[in-house]
Amino acid sequence: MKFLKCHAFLYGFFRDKGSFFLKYIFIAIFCALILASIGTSVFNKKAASGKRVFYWVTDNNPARALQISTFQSWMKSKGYPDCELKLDTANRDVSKQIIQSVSGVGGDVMDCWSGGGDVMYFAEMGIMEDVTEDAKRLGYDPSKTYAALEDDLKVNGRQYIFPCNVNASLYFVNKEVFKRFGLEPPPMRWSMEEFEKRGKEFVAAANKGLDRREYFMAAWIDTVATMRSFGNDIFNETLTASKMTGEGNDGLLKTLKLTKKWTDVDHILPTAAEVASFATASGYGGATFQLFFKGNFAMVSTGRYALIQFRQFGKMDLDAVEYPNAGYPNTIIATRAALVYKGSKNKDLAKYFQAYLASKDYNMNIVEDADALPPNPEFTKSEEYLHPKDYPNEWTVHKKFAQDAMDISIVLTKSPFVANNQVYGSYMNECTQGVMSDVRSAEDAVKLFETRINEEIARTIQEKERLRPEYEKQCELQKKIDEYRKAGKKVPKEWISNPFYKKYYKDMGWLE
Amino acid sequence: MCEVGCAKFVLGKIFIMLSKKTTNLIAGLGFLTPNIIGFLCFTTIPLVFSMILAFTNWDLTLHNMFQNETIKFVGFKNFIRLFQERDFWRFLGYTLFLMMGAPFAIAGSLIAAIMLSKDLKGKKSGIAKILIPGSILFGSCCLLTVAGMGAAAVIILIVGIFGLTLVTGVLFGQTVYRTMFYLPNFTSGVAVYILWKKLYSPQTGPINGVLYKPLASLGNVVNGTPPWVFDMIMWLCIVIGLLILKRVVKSMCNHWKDGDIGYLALVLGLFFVLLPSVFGALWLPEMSAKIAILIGSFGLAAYELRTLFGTRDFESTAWRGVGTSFMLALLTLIPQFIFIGFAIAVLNLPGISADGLEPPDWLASFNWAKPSIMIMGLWGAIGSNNMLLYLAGLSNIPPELDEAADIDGASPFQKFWHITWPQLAPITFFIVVMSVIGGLQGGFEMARTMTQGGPAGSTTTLSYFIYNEGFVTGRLGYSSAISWILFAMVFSITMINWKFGSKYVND
Repeated sequence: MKFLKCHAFLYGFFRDKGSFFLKYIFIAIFCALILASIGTSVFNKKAASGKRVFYWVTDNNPARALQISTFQSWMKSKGYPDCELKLDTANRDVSKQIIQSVSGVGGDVMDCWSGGGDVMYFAEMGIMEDVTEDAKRLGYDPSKTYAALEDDLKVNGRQYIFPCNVNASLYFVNKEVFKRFGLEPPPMRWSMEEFEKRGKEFVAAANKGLDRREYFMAAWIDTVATMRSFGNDIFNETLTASKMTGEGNDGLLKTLKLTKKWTDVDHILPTAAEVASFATASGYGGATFQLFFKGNFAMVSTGRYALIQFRQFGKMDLDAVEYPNAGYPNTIIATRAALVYKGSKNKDLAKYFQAYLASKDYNMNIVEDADALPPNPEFTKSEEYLHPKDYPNEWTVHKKFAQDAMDISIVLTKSPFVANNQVYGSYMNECTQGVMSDVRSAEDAVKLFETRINEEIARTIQEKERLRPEYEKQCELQKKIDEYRKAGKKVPKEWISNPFYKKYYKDMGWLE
Repeated sequence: MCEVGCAKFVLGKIFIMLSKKTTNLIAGLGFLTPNIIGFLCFTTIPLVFSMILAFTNWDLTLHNMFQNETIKFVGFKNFIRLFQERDFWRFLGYTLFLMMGAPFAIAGSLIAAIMLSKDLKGKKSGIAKILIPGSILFGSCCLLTVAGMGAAAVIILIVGIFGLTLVTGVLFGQTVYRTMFYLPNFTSGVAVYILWKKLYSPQTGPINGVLYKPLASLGNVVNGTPPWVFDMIMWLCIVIGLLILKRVVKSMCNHWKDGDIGYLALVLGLFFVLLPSVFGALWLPEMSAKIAILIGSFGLAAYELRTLFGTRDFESTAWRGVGTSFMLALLTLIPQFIFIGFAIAVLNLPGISADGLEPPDWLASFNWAKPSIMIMGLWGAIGSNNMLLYLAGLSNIPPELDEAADIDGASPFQKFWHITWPQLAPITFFIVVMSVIGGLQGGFEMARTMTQGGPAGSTTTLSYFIYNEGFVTGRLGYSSAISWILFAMVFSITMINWKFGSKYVND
């Protein structure tokens, strides 16, 4: 009864006085909001250091805190302006970066990935500051990092980025797993045939007596590196077309067929379903690194950064070996780099930050926490890099990663005439997954991949008239290159734009 | 002083001049203004802007604050290109395929609503039958937990939750079940997708964990079954499909004779009704089955169409009843395709199970990825807002209707078919419209979270395609054109629904 009385009272009260009270409630909330705004503004001013503040859009990594504090000390030691660097870890997603940048509100310094296409895409949009001159002045031009990365740092001959860290991939080998099954770990350099032979031996020994296959020799193979080991690349020498079919251009086709065989017939590599079954953990690399530690994968193709997780798992008997090759050993080099936003009001500070990335202070941070390779290769010669005192089990691998980055690494090829993130994203996935899921044959998949890229190039040229002169010039050069190659003549280096062919032609002795 | 006094005087006069109606209007607009401004800024203007964008060559790499190129109007070029693009048709097909789960989802939410409208609380028989075993189950699980669960932890947990559910349901009534069914709706979509991803894990997921042994046994049964049995099942499926077709064509002819549908509406309906047979002839592996399905379907249709040569009871215009015809066709399309699909699956069964029958790879398989998403959608739909709408609809059905039917001796099914279903027609209509709209626009979160549109693009829907075109290639103009084509589809289907569906609702 009491409840009913109370309810009746409240109902009557609001019916009679409701509109009167609502006005005052509205005004009260309005005033409270204004007061809160003023309060926030006042308190924020008090909290601010009074220094110039600029933002670094990067991933949410605990190592960033140390990197920032080192930056502050480095700036002080160099006598550069007093400033405060703040992290923005909420906007690292590429879509967010694009939308914010073209709207004029991008972060002052932003992380981006080379390789798949971020850099080329950002450069096309014109959101990156050209730092060529400043890089020379402040000492972070391409000569301060790995030579193989030069094509990733520059677009049309101009420098835009500098590496935060560098990744050149190898197979990490868990030697204990091989020993467990009475097998020898693989050699540093090996052929496809040897990979297959050892792989068959491994899975036969490791999965003996098990209901389901639980052990695989490798988590995956790198499609582009394997294709390149046959002497082919996704784009031609002048980046004007894709040529992945026909005699002498069938590297991808052979790679797909081998991958299919090694997955479905020999079971050296896990199927997508087997990988999905293992997917019980998160973090970069998913569950792969835990499975490597446990021995389900005897080898994982990754960079030195994997050591951050390996160190958390415990001591492993580690080694690193190259990808198997079909005649041309190579690997992919890529970088998480920092760019200066063209619309930034703190470009000067952002460029100091890029310079800091080439400094000893920063590089030694990377060396110590094993977050891939330091941007400056000089620091890979240090004792701290080669023989970290707490991790003697890693001593065999550090040098190999550095050597690999300097000797056999090549960046992913990017064409200015196509959206590269689409090439390395949806087109490539559709090609490889189509074959692995039995949706289409390897021949059809490669043909479709090639057709899609060439159609996309034709569309880009049609839509972006400004690219046409350069495209036509490069097409003419391509004709000449083809003629020279047919005649067995050496080709001038400056004719070739594709970083893979630049190195491949050089190594084959085909350059003038 | 004089100025202040004058101003006060003028303001006072103005207020006196304004009627109460006007002041109310001003106050109302004052409250609405923030919302209207928000709607204009964040909905109307972007909408109009995107419409304009669809006719331009706006490309993020060419047109932004750092580039000097001017945006050009390209007329219908984006739309023409779109219709020539193989990916658009492919992804449209995938989107429509995923929408085939909508009728099942609607049926699921209706069944859930009907179940949840029954109350167990207070019924002695319910207490006896459910409370005691439920308590025993829950108690046993608690004891096992105390004793140490070991490897059976998950199973014990599930059984324990089941027991607890029964107990709380009996003690606190339908509210408990309603809340539990609606719980997935409170959970963030991404969290649910990740959960399902784990459930679908091919070798370690609980779904395949359950399926593994029964399928292995089924595989043995299949391997021991003579091949003619599979042929028989295939033929049975074909015959059932043909009988459904015959029944519907007959119904269409009757409608035509009664003047409910016109010539052209009949032709349109026949086209859709015969479509599954054509596809069946293409998909079925055996030549005899191909011929039989074609001859059977066209023969039976011709046999029923013979009545058209007789006298017509009522005349009608050529397009009259196009909705009726379309709805009839649609109702037969789904079961026909299901039977054809089942026939093909049965025929392939011996080949698949030769090395033992294994559970599917779900999201990792090109062929199973879409059905996996549909199953997940079905689960989500059962406890969705649709269920709430049906629950509200069920509570609004006058009990007198049921009582009258009881007196007449109607069976539960008859009561459902003649009372509940027609009474729920307006709600069903609303749910169908919203499901179609949601189905055409949906799939983005799932594709991005669970599959990245793969494997081999099999779970890429139009919305994910729009995102890719807009932000991966930067072609915002083209991406807008796709969005507007999607809008046109949604709008047309909704209009068809309103035009023809509302007729059935009102009837």
